[in-house]
Amino acid sequence: MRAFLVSLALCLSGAAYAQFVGPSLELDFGGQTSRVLTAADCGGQVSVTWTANSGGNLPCSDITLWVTTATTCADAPGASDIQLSGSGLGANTWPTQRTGTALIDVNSLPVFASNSTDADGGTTITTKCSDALLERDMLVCGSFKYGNTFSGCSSSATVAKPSSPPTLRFDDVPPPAPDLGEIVPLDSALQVAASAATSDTILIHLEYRRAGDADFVSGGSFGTDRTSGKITGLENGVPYEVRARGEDQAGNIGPPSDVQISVPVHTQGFFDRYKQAGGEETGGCAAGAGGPLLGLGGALLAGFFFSRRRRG
Amino acid sequence: MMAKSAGLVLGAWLALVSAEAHAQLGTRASLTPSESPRTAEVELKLGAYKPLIDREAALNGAKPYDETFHGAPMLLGELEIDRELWQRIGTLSAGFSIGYAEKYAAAVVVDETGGTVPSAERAGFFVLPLRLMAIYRFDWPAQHLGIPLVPYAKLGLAYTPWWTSKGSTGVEYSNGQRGAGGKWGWAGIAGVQFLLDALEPRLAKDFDTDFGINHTYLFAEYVYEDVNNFGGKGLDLSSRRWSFGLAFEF
Repeated sequence: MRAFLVSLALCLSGAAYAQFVGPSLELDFGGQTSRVLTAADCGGQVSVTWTANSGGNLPCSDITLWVTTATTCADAPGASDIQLSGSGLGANTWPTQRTGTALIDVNSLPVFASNSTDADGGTTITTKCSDALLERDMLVCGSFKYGNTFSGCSSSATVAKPSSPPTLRFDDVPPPAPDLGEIVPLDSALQVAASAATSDTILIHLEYRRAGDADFVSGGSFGTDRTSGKITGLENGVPYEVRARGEDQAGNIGPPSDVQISVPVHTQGFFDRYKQAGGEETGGCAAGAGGPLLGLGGALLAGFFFSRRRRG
Repeated sequence: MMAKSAGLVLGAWLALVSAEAHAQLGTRASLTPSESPRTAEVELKLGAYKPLIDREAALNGAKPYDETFHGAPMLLGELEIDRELWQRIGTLSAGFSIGYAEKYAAAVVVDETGGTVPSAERAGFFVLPLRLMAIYRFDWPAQHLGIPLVPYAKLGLAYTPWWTSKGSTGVEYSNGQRGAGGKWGWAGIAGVQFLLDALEPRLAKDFDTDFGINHTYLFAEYVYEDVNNFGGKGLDLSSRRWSFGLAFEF
């Protein structure tokens, strides 16, 4: 009787586990859940890794993968979606878990399809990847049908979809020029405040030139999580023209901002003020000279700890 | 002035509490007759350190420290470890202390009139005082008569590495001269410790049994130090100040 009860419990727990785990379909770009593409990616391919698990249920269909411009994944690809092909797809029977990769042809993304419409609606636009000036988000979707062990693959078979489909963005629209804020003159440097005009700008590049020079040169960059950056290595008393450009997640660099002029100035810290006041300190006899004193201190400490250990 | 007042108030408080504690302890021969051996003392202390930089003769009355930092002292934290070498009538120890203090203020721009205006850059001044000292603590009355006050004196060699900064460029330079160095000197310290064990003798005994900490003290000390390469030229890091802290005797 006890053996029967144990067997029954094991069977029930196994079935319950299978029901609990359930079928799943996970998609990503080699571990990444999002990918940004630009015109430089045109003509190339993007690899999608998929992992399907029937979770002890009965697989009833192929695994279908597609790219859509919709904001959610439907059960099956729509007319304007791009269906993917790849190794491992197409088999109708498969064991509990399968994994594989599929390739997305960037030129064929649905945002370039001929059924895209402009803002007025109705006008058919055919856009080539390399000519596009787009900033559009897409989802990579997938699905398969499954049934349970009792009803099989009847009409009541349900659809498994990824819980969080990976996002694909095509973006070759450069960000607008940042807003250049206050420029604070520092010693041989300028502290430049700038803020991004759009949320997808992730970097602000600073550029400068001596007033009257022909070309701007790079003055470094800073992330938009900060409000300012510093241009260093400048000459005090010389007017500099400063401007900024934004860079978005796709690496597009936008046009320059308006130009502002500022002049680095010599500032005095404590030591400079002391010296200007006539102080005779010449530095030197630096921290290294305290070595013997530190050595004696260290010996004292060692003595202290050794004596503690002896007592312990 | 504030430090002196604080010292006086603390001294008065220590005297009052010690009288009370002495009354409680009566004529007991020892606070902790079965205590573990005493070998060392560790002190943690804080004090307001204002280096006497502006008294340098070459400055001709100019006050670069006061003008930069508006006359405010630096908050100096110190750790001192003393090794007890002789325990008869009082305790003779050798000690080493290390401290750290920093002070920041706005760097300035000199305008056309020769006046100064604050800039957006910060100026910093840093010291790391080191001292090697001989210490005598008259703790015999505390050990044998239950009087919880321990006067002490320290005399030693001091060396204070210092450095300056401006903006985020690290050590400040003035006309190519690096604003960093070190100064030798000497220090004399006098202070008094109040034995906290007197307030909770049983807890103090447990502290010794469990952690080997024989005694715990609250103390105040006056520091007189000349740190200017024994009267040499340059930055004068001497000071006269009070320090307050907590000491553990092991």
